This record gives sequence, structure tokens and C-alpha cells, in this order.
Amino acid sequence: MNKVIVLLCVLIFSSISVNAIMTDEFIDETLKDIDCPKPEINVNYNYESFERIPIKLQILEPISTKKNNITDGQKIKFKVKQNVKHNHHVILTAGTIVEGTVETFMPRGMNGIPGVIILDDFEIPGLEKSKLKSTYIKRGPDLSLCVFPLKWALTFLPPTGSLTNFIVGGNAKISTKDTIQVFYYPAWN
Amino acid sequence: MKKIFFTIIAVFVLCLQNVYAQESQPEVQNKNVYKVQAVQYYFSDSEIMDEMKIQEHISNIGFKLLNANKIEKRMVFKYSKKDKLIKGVPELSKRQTVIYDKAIQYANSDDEVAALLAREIVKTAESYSGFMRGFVTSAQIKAAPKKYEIFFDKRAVDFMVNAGYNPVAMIVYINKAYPQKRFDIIGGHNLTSKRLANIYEYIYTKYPYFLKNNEYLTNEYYQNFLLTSQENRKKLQEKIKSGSKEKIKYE
Repeated sequence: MNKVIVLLCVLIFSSISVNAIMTDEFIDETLKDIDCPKPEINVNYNYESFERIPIKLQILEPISTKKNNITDGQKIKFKVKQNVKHNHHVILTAGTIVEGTVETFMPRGMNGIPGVIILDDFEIPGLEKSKLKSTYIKRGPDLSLCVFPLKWALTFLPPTGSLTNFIVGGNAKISTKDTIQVFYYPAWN
Repeated sequence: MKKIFFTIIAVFVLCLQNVYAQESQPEVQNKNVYKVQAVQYYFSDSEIMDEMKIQEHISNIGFKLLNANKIEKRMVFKYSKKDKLIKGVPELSKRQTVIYDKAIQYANSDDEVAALLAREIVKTAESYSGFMRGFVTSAQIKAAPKKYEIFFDKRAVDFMVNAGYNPVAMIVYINKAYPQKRFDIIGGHNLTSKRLANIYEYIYTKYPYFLKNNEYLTNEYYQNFLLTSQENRKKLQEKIKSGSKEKIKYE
């Protein structure tokens, strides 16, 4: 009888282990006490109006792909450079601090490929996100304009053309002198 | 005699008319048949109808992604039955995203189709930027696809989220559709496991909501990803615990 019970127990536990769903313990541990709001989506739109108001921003601390000092999703602070007016009313005063996000970035690469920084998701007080066209892309110096002609010119002397692969592109930098321009579309939904 | 003669002529003329009538009738009948067949073929052939449905579905999701992300560059989406396995390579010069039959077969939901399309949209949008109306950037993408691969994956995740799709579907889609090579040092593409780990880290960093409330946790393909990515996820765990900003070397 004992043998039968042991056998049944073994069968039950083995079937449980086979059917077990692997849980993501890492997520359970690290995000347990963190508030994770649902991201905003943009599915109700009406792009009929093309009236837009430029908003000029200036970064408070420079960022670059060079120093590895940026990460995906990093929050960055900006200052509004000029008053922003709509219908003769100031809707955003110069000097207001606004927050933006490093959406993602790409380090520079071989073949003269430049680094890229993409900024977006600006939180501007008093302005709805859905009414902003705010993707800002900054690229480093593109050296592939030199690399490709040089590579093709050296094809007669193999493998010297391949050596141009080692020419790396420039880093993308956003300095305090750069003007970051985003647009506000007051009539958009 | 005259009566016989007229009778013969009458019979001859009648016969002649019948002969012409018989000769000309098939043409008319055939034309009608062809017309009817063409109409029937156009409206009832299941293969064509299926293709039209797939094309409509792809275009619908594609344009939703474009609008939700406020992409001002023109591009179109084309479904092709050509047998080009897992290479939805757009013609960068035409800005036409071609989605091949074999690639779409792996997508089981709208989220997964969006994952496939979002990546191609990023690539096509990128072909607009830079010198000579994007010609140089397109050449760079073709010359060094590996460099751009993870960048495109990450940007595609953003596009999916903005359009209301679940970005975890990208992990699911890539996990079941892309093979795993031995090395990626020399080749033109990253190891698929490396891409998946980077996408996972990106979702964890920017959109943790989707991992905390994971709809795909019981999905077989996602479970397989969890099974095969244990080492990489351990590395991410260590990075988060240590608060490091260094880039992880995934395998």
C-alpha cells in the first residue's frame, strides 16, 4: 500500500513540475514595490490642422554618446528659451524648466557611422502631450561621406579598401548652445 | 421547275444562315463565359481574397503605427508571396516596406504583426534622413546592418507602445521566427539571443508596466524565451542591483 501511495505522490509531483509555468522571478523581485503606470498611447488623433507654434528649448547639462553618460529613458531637463504665444497670449514663459526623455541612442560605429540621440516625451506644463510634435534627433558628424568614396576608390588595391571600415563616425552631442525646437499644434486632439 | 429552283435556293440560304449562326454563336457565348469567369475569379477566388485580406490587415496596422507616432515621412506596405524567408527587407530607395509571406506566417496576433511592421517603419523612416535625401544613410544601413539592428529594435518598441500595442509581442515574434547563429563577431547580424535580451532590458527600463502585467507570461514562445534567456536576465538583474550604467555584454 505504501508503495502505491509513494508511486502516486511521485507521479503527481512529476506532472506538476512538467506543467509548471516559469514565472519571471526577476520582475517579481525588482518591480514588486515600484509603481508602473500604463504608458500613454496616441490612437485618437485628428491631424487636420497644420497651425503650429514652435517652442525653443535649451538643455541644462550637455549630453553626448561619447562619455556613456546617457541611458535609454533618462530624464533630461531643459529651459524654454523664448516666450511662447498663442492668440496673443503667453502660454509658456521663457525660463520655464521642462522635462524630456532620451528615447534611445546609438553609439558611433565603424564605416563612419555617426552616433544618434533621440529626444522625445517632453512634459511641458499646460500643454497636452498629444498636441506636441516633439521628436528631436541629433546626429554626430557623418564620416561615411568620406569612407564610401575612399572604399570604392581603393577596390583596385585589395584589401586596402577594407581598412576604411575602421574609420569611425562622430559622436552625437547636445550642448547648451544647441536650440531644440519642438512644435505645439493647438488644434490637434 | 421554277418552284423546285426557288425551294433549293431557299433551303440553301437557310442552311447558310444556320452555318453562320453556329459559327458566330460560340464567340459570343465564349465572351460571356470569359466575362462571367473573370468576375467569378475576381470575387470568389479564395487565394486572392486571402491575399487582399492580409494586405488590408498589414496596411491598416502599418498606417496606425505611422499616425500614432506622428511620422511625417511617406511609406507604403506591400504583402508579397515571394519566398524570401524572414527578411522583410524594404527597398530603402522606394520607401516601400515589403512583408514576405514567410515572415507574416509567424505573426499570430495584431501585436506581433505590429512588431514586424514597426521595425521596418523605423528602418524606412531612417532612410529619409541625411545627405542626398537619405541615400547615404540607406547605404550605411545596407553596409552595416548589425550596427543598426538593436537601435531599430528599441525604436520599434517605442512605436508599438505609442500605437497601443504590447511590446512584449516583439520578444515573442523574434523568439519564434529568427534562428540562432553560432557567432556574430564577423557576420552582418547580432545573435538573436542578444537582440532579445536588449529588447527585454529596454522594455524593463522604459515600459515596466508590460512586464509587471505580462499578458504573455503563459505564452509558449515567451516561456521559451524565459527558459533560454536565464543567463542574460541574470546579468540584467546584477546590473540593476548594482545600479551600474555600463552596457551589458549579452550572449
